[in-house]
Amino acid sequence: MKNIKPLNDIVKPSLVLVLVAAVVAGAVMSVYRLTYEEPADGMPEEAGIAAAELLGTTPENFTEIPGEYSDGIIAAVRTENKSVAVNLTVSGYSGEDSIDMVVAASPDGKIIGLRILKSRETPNIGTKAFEPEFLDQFSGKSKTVERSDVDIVSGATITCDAVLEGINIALSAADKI
Amino acid sequence: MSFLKTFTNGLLKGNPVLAMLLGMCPVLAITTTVINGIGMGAATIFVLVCSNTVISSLKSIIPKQIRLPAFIVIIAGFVTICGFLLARYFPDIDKALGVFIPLITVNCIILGRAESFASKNSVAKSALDGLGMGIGFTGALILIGSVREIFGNGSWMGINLFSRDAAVSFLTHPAGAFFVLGIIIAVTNILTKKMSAEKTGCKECPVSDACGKKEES
Repeated sequence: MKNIKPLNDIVKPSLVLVLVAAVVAGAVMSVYRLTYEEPADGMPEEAGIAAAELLGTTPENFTEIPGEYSDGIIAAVRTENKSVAVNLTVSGYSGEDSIDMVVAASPDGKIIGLRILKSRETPNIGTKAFEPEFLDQFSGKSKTVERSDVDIVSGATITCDAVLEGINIALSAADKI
Repeated sequence: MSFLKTFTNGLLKGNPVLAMLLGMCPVLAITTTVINGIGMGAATIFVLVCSNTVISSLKSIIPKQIRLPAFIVIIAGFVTICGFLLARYFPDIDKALGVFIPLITVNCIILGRAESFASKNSVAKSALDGLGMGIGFTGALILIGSVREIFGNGSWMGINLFSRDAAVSFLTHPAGAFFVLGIIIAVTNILTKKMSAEKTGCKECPVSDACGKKEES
């Protein structure tokens, strides 16, 4: 083994590495400061537009319903005539919170419509549950929707169950509001 | 190597994806659509050019013993910066690429170029090499993404070409990525073999700079 010189082989490399890491950390920190954005409160814009379309109004007519939500609910809004729209995420086949959806309900707790905003479900397989043939079955339903009340899309059972779960969470939340 | 050759090396003959088979993980995972490929390619070009430039300019300061950790720290820094910029200004691309943005750090193309090129060549040449390699990587991503999106989804850049029912949706799945990649590499091999027929030996090999073997003629 060759001679190890403490200064050249141990101290200097360590110092250089620390220096490089410090400079990089400084650069990363300053870019973080420059690009940081406060997360917006309330219903995301995209969800608001979908909810407005479902309820036949515009997002300006919504009143945010504040509160600590659980069960994946992101936000809920109310219109002047007491209709409610709930934006929530449920877990489907592709992991936690893989489906982002909006459910709109009338004042008497009936489903007006629902919209899937984003999902990570398998294209052409799980996403078959997002087609109107499946989603339109829910219109007019109220209280707890059972699996037997609708035709589940074959091949997309887990995604259908997730949508169903989301609807029931939204309906019970709308009921409390 | 001349400046022009440094740049064009990464495009086809030394293409990181099609000739060197580096960075396979993002290539297979994100090429479901062309736009994802372009986003990933742009992010990689940014990181490659920046890290190659910085590493090349620091090559005399960084002692040999710590060069790999130092390179990785520099690369990780640029990747994180790139991630912040994407999240702020291109949230859609950021969401589509997800975890593959932070994973650029461990993309072997970048560390490979740092170790085998930037740490031995001038700053200008290293930046050019990063640009060439990055464009080669992006080109491969666009090619694979195009095939998968057109035949797998019936669209290109989000424009519908034909009905989705006529598309082979298998190509958009992970296993389909291997098929498309394999066929494209085979075609590239045929093309590049024809171009440099008979002239084999270490000089012609795309990874000759990084290869530890002694020169063979």
